[in-house]
Amino acid sequence: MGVVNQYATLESFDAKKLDVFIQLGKDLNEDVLSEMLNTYFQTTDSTIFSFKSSAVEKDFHTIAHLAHKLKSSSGQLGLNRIHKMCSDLENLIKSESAHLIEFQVNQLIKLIEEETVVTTNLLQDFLKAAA
Amino acid sequence: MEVKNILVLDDNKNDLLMAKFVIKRLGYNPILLENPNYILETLKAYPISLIILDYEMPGMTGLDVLKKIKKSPSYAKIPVVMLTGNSTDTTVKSTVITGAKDYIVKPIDPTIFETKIAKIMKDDIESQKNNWVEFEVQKNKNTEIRIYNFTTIVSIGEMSLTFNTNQDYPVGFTFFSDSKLFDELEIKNPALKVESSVKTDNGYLVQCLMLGLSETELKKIRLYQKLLHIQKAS
Repeated sequence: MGVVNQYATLESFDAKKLDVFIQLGKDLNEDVLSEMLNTYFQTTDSTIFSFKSSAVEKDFHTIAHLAHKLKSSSGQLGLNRIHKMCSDLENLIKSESAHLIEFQVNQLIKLIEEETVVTTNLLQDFLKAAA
Repeated sequence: MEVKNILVLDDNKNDLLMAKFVIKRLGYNPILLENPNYILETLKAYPISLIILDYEMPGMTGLDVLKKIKKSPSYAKIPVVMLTGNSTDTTVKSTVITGAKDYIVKPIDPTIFETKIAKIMKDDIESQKNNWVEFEVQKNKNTEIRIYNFTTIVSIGEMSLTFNTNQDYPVGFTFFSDSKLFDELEIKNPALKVESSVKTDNGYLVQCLMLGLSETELKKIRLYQKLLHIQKAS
């Protein structure tokens, strides 16, 4: 599984990226980190659901757009693997003919879903520790 | 003091949220919009000092929205910053050619975002200071406004008045003067229209056309000119 190994070399989560949100929270006297992460959990749940339904419908255009959005959100929170997977998924769809990439697209969506479960747990632990 | 509004248009809730917090920390008021179709309604509803646009949105792209804004005379001057997940030459070029002031690459680094926004807002305030008359006129298009400015009258003719001042006046700008000179001549607030404004070592030399003076008022000015002439001669 070359695809999996390619991502395994990346750190799943860079906690330093969240420092800026902790500082923002202190400056504004608001729970910025919690709001940021909870919004991320909600939007990512819905993105994973849409990924799967779009894959069934072979709607590659929508998959590319969803990957573009998740790439941005995950990158912002230091979720390196999801960021790279989404970037690869978006580029794959933009560069290849749909019928040639169906298998790879489905494989990447599966990886993103699995990685989302891992990182959601990591982020929830981080949030508890920061509270 | 009124808090300035910054509009952020992005279909990504996470990016909108991050922008909201950074804008709040800078002391500005964030106005968040997810749907590009409501851009003109939102601009109409709030006075906006800066627009931050996502480049890649479904339906209407950031570039389409930027073109729409630039086409509208009321909003064309609002600075726009583009958010892009893809900083290829083509994206950046099309963004800048269409009139964006800057662009920020996604994923948004909050520190870069904050620095760029702070700089653009500061530049905006500087440009307003430099073009204060035009700014006041634009801001108060439908209301009467009073502007105080120090001037020294250089010459007065039957039709025109020239004065030195420390600020630029836009050509075509018409205003009612309550200069002390007109008080002394018992001419009540004559209308002056700026014909030219030339930068000098000490500020600006502004020449205005005097509008709508009556024959009596013109006679007073002629008399004043004669007195000035006699004063200078002696």
